[in-house]
Amino acid sequence: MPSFSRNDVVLVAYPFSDRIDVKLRPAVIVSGSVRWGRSTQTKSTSRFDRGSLCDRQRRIEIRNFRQFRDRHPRKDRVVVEQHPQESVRHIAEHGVSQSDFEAVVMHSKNRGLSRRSMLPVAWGYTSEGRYILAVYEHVDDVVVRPVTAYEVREPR
Amino acid sequence: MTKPNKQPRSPKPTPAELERLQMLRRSIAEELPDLVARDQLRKEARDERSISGALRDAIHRSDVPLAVIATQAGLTPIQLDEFLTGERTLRSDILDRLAALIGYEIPPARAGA
Repeated sequence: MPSFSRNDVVLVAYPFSDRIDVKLRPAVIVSGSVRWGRSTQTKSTSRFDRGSLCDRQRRIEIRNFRQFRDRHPRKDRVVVEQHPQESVRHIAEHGVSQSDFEAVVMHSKNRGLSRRSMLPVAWGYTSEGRYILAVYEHVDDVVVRPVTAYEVREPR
Repeated sequence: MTKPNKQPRSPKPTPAELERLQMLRRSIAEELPDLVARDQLRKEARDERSISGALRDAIHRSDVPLAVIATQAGLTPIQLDEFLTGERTLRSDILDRLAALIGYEIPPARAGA
């Protein structure tokens, strides 16, 4: 399973705007180590990372993504989160932004379970290299809702 | 002149929903030291140079939710989590099922090898 590092040039299956088909486009890895088979963290595939999308745009993105995923079940699998404002405020109190939370859940290093709340937990790095624990709940098979997040000690 | 109705960015949570979220957050805050300690176990179990270690690594890389993997493999989510931290070993038939679920293939042994 190949992995990529910063400044590598890769070919990405990038969807047309109508999401009916894809074309292979070159992309540059801009941060972190990236594994094949998950969404690559590149400039050209970062449209789901934008924190400024309004709720309606976000719903359209999710609907388009579902249509694209159904047509291409093995390509470009991305988790898209819904962010109620209350949850965003809560994680911000712990120094974690919405885009940090998305980065950790989408590119998690480890995954597990909170045994008290029975909610899924993801551990991973933000773009600034901070190690974050993110607890969330699944709204459905694509959308997750943040519950809480903490910056924690990295395992040795 | 009436002002255009602005669509709210997200639905406002009900008081019951807020109470539920706060309860979950309190419980996770109390569990935080355990979660950090188990992350260390998780890393060690994942880095293990064994078939179980490779399978744990493949599970962490997979996009399928852990709850779905656990259900389809016939495990409870806690049993799968204990396997990921190395606190529990699994029967070989369950390991086979887990491997098949996440598309992890072991190449067949060569004849005479």
